[in-house]
Amino acid sequence: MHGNAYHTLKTLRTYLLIVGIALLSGCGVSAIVKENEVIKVKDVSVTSPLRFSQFGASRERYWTLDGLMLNDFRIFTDIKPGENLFLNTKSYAERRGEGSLYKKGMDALEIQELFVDALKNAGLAEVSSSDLKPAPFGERSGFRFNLQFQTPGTSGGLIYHAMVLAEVESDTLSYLYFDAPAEYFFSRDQAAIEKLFASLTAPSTQ
Amino acid sequence: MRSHISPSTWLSTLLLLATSLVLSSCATRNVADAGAQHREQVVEQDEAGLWAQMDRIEALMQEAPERVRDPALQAYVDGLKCKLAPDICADIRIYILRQSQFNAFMTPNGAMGLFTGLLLRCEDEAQLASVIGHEIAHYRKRHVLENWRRAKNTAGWVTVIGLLAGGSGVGGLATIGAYVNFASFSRTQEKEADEVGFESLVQANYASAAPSQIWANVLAEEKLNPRPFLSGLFASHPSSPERQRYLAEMSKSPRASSNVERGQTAFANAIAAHRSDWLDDELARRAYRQSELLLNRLGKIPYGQSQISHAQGELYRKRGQIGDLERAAAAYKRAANDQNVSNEVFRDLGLTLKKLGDSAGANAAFQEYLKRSPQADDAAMIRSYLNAR
Repeated sequence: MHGNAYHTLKTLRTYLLIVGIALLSGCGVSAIVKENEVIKVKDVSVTSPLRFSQFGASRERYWTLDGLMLNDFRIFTDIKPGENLFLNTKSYAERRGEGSLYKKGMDALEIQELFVDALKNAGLAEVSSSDLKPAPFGERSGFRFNLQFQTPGTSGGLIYHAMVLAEVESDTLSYLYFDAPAEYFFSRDQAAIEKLFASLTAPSTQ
Repeated sequence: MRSHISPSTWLSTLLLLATSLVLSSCATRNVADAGAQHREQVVEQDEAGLWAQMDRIEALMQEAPERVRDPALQAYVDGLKCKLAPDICADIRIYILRQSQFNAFMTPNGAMGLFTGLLLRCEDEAQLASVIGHEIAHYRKRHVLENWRRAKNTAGWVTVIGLLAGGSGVGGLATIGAYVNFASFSRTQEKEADEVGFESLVQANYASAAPSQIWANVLAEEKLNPRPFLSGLFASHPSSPERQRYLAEMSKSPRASSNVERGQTAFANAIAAHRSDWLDDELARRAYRQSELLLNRLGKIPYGQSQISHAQGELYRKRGQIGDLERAAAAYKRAANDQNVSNEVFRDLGLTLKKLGDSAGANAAFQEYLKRSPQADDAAMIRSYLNAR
């Protein structure tokens, strides 16, 4: 018994040490983004027009004003072929090479389609995309599109609007994403997010 | 989407509830068949609070964004229901729910959930009728109610009610998934539902081979994935070799063998307006092995060929293995030759030819797409491809 308890404590201590080191070594990020603060994620930078709460890690950032269900802005960079859009732990299907994985050679139409499929697979209803068009991603050629979906589980579903600005460079995918409930929050925050999209800088690599 | 992945979706809750009602580990208790005064009898016998939860589940189905609100399709499945069970037709309400899984379930108060993934996989009315008849048989024989009564004294049931009381569903996916995978009808109940369902099929003059055919088809898909993925129905409807055998034997019984009604045209017409959306949902799963088998099978039935060819093109383009782009282009070209081709076929063909390095072919296809859909949402992107030559 004593031996087992000692072993458990030792394992727990090792685990806490690893978590502590990870937190201190830059995996985590500052909890607040100040107004006009420039945030760099890999080689993608944006200037925040407002004060946001933030969390994330080296290739991904989540910002929100009122909580992620009410406004959810994301920066994802350097997604490699074989990874999923949100850098989540791979599902069983994804480990078998199926599911919503980013693949080498995908173009704008297929990235938009990948977002739609990923949202459907996340259990959202009535997912649709619109307004796919070329758009600069800093100094790179990018594209943007809009999404709409409904949450299940609420009476009649809560309608969300989303917008995405993305680019594929050297076979890796980077994007900015924003979603909010269509009622009130999306229209309230849209101008600020457009300003955020417009502030994006990403150097050309060609 | 982390913020929207919803382990507590109402559908999961429905499945949790429906399957929790069929916990099979307790002793059997005889109950009378469901009849016209079924609800009143049951409400008298059971706790009104628990019964109210059934109504709440049904209310969720009524309001759900996933509900397919098509009066013509609803009238079609309601007609089938009454054809199969004229005596208790009014007691049963069918809700068609846009979900890509092959699944159907019945609650004790007579509400039936029918997933569009099941409708997509049916080849004709007889196959759909066999599933609806089977579910009605569970209701008629009060299997769901029996299991509900048994289950309500278990810790699992307390959890279910707790989930429901918390709103449209709270709690972890692991908990819900555990219940969905755990619960099942007893072997006796399942066989009884097969027999009663088959009898209603025979009386309605449907082809008697339909039940064994649809189960065999879905089982073949399921075998391509070692984990339950496609079919929640398999979780509660075990499809054993024995079951395959007795379903096949039933279809050869002297009384049933003369039945030939398949209702293929009526079924094709009923689902025509939705089939493309359901195929999109199927392809969104990106479960390529299962979808390929499904599409190859659906490609052999004589309706909606262009839709299936388009879907095959999409499957191969998305999968992107060696030779898939060539397969996709061939499938899109087959679809393009059909009179009822959708405009998007030309866009998708153009995209595929572009990837194959056939610029002239890609541009011709893109131009055809823009000619047919000049106001398309993605027209600006397609024009940028043309301008980039």
